[in-house]
Amino acid sequence: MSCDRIRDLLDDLLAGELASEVSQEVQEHLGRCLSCRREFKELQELLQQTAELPTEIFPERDLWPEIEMRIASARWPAEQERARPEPSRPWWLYLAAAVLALAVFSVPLSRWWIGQSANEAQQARSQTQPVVLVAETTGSEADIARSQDGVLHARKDLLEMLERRRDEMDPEVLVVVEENMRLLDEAIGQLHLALEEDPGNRRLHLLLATRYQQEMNLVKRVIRV
Amino acid sequence: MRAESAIICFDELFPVFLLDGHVSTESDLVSRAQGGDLGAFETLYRSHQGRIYGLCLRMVADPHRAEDLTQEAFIRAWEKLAQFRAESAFATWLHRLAVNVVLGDLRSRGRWSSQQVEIADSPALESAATPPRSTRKVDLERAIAELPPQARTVFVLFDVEGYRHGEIAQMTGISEGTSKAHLHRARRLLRKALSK
Ligand SMILES: [Zn+2]
Repeated sequence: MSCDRIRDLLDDLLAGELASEVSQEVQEHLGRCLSCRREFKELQELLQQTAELPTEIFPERDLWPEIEMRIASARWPAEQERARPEPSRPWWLYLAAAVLALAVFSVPLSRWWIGQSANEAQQARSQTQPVVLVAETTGSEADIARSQDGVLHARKDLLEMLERRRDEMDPEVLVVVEENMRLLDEAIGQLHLALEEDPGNRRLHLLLATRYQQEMNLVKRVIRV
Repeated sequence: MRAESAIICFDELFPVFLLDGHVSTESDLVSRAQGGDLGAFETLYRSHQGRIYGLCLRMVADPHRAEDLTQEAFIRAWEKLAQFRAESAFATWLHRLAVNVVLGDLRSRGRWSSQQVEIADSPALESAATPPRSTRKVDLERAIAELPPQARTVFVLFDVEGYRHGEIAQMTGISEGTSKAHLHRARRLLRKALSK
């Protein structure tokens, strides 16, 4: 076999896909041909280096808020088609909460959005069609209540951990974390108010659980749990 | 500004999922997400984003498109979550779905065509894979990014992600032989780039 032919077979040799007599012929060639041997060694080195590449690369920005927003907004048309005679909550409450989710990692943007959602609230009063942003949950009320207890418990632990590590943290980071926490707490507060008037509303429960989860994710990232 | 990006960039894999105050397994999270729990799905996103973004970035060699494709992949995953069956690993299912999202994007941009079996090296591509002499130390990631799209795709899927030629052929619509030819070419171009 020519050197070119041998080199074409090196991939198959490494993959163990050559018939044994061909494999033997290639290996014999490698034993006596320095230039093919060098080629083979380079190939092995490349594969070694490739195997050492990190399996994970993280995006430079948080991609989740947009994913969440798009998932939520995909539900609009279907939800709107379903007739809802009497909207039990002003729709802007849902919007405000979802908007906070989008803005939670960007403080200046959040401020702007809060201003916007107040305007939207004004306009909303003349609207009768509810816009609902979140998926229906299938869990029972008891499941929801149980899950909320768990969430509150975990949240309390995490906040205590955050408090203990306060001194070790970069003050600038702390400012941003606290601002984000404040925004999340505001959203959580709004949701609790809404739930007082409409305790059985599953969407509100789901939104609330999502906000708590976001808050915990934020704290976990900061304190590196 | 610095403080904000410090948080935005700080991402890591949480090996233990904390949900409802309990340690949850991935399959708990998947079932909850299948039931409409966006919080559980976010936790899945957080734990898989690195693998999926890494895959997208290496396949398209463009950070902004990789971000879009990562988002697209997770949105598609949410939409198709009902089709996921617990007998396969969620990571495998998600990964394959992401590969299909990226391939769909490459096709729509005309960067991938099953008809295009032309694998001859064009001088332009050869020189693209050869960095200027001033930067002799070529980093492998960069060399991969500079591969022609089809060769890069097959290299990333086979050598980085561990798919076999049969699977690549099935996903891309090329033949196994063509997949092998692309891999051969990619490896040769990479060795050339790295030996400079
Ligand atoms: Zn030889």
